[in-house]
Amino acid sequence: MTTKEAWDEGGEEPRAPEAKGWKALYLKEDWWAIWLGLGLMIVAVILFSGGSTVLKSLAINPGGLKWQTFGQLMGHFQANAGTYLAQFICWLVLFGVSARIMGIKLSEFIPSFIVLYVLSMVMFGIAGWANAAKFNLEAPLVALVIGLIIANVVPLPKWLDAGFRVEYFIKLGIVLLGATFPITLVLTAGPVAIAQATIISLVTCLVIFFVGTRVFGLDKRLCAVLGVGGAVCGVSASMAIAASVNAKKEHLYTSVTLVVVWALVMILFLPFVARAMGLNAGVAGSWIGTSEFADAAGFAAASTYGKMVGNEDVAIKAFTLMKVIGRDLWIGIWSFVFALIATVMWEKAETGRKPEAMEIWWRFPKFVIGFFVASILMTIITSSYSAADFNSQVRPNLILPLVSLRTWAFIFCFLSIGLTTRFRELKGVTAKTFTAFTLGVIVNVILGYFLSVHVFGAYWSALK
Amino acid sequence: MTPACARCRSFVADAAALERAVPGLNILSSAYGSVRAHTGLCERHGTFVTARQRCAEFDAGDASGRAHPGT
Repeated sequence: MTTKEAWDEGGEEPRAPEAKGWKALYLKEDWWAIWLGLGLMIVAVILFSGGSTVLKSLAINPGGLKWQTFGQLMGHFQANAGTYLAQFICWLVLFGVSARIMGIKLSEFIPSFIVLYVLSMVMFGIAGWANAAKFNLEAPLVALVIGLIIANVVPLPKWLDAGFRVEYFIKLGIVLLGATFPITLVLTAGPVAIAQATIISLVTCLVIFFVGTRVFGLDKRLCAVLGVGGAVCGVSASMAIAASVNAKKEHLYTSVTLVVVWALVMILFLPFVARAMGLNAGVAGSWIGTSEFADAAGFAAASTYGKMVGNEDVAIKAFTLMKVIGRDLWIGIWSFVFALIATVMWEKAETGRKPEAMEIWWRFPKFVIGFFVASILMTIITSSYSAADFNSQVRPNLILPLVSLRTWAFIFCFLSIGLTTRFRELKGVTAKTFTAFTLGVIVNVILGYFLSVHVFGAYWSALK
Repeated sequence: MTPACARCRSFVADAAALERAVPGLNILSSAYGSVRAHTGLCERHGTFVTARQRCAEFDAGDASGRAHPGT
């Protein structure tokens, strides 16, 4: 059924497309991230149960090689050329088919993804150098910085962006992360994360909104877009709010600029400050989760810090609990609240718009469902193994290959952030707008630190 | 009462078109994601609207195929 038909069937009052939107199941990247992530997990479990090591082989990456000479690295690639080719074909088919169904041109996606895959191998190669840690050559940072340099120095054609799907890759990575994330941890630490996220979300949004409107006299719609962007989930949240309050295109463009600039600063700033403070990996992961705006940028920062302190797993777990489970869930709630405010208090003309509680579901980041399903399934599947069997069989043959696939998805994402960030394309912002948003950022970082270290520090530092 | 924005020729809901309309939108976000839901861009007013909204300047034009809620 086309949209037009759906509208016609509903008569004069149009039905919400998402309420009947089964098409979303194959047209939205959130759902594709779920299908691919759960599909890979199920294949992994089946192969593991049958004693096959195919997935273990396919999940190869040179990140843990610890090579000393360039010849060793080249030797690794030569010896495993066939495996890398097979892996590349698998990724290309999975991403290519799903991208095509979502409406992305294959003629643009395929060459773009080839570039991305080759660059990812280079990133893994650099991170796999025995001395990489001494020079802070953590894979996420290297991928981000090299991507930024390429995007801003080399005149890449814009159509290459077709394969640099930052959000798609991070969503797949998060669903795969769910497969290695015990649901018991979500249940025990989740409430703390949600409590902390609630405080952060409310305070940051209100600071940006009231400083912007009351102190600087900025447009309230712009401030709503910026406030939620800074408080919840960056540009994605801003886009959701933009429709709720009928913000102008320039408002979202302004949010893109401020979120991207501050998110990049945070990726480079938070891991090094956290290390200088000697923060525990769980505490730092939580702090990054409260302070970074976007999932992709936050995972880059949390992963970098985890690698710095040799405890990436815990840093990523804390970040995920705080950001994905705690803060991202606020997108729909803020959309509904601002739609209510806009229609009741701001608008004089009839727009036919009615705030609906279903907005909370329509704008729910669906990939989070995939994370929970993967976590529950894998917890059930692995619960029948003893601790000894888990460590000797399940971990090396099932869990670690899934971790490696997740690492690939993350590297695709981190590189894509750099490769799509062209500073010349960002919008100039006024001093008032910049100051209002920046004050929110400062409050967010300080409050996030206080909550992560002093209020809930015991929980985060006990995370394993 | 005018028809909903989803049927207006000024309503842009195509994900690729939205990402072209707002440079940098794809850096840390995506028009292909669930959170966008039924948001589109009104080219006439330069504002973001939901597919269910209405306005007095509705333009039927050749609107068929313009609205595409799934993308």
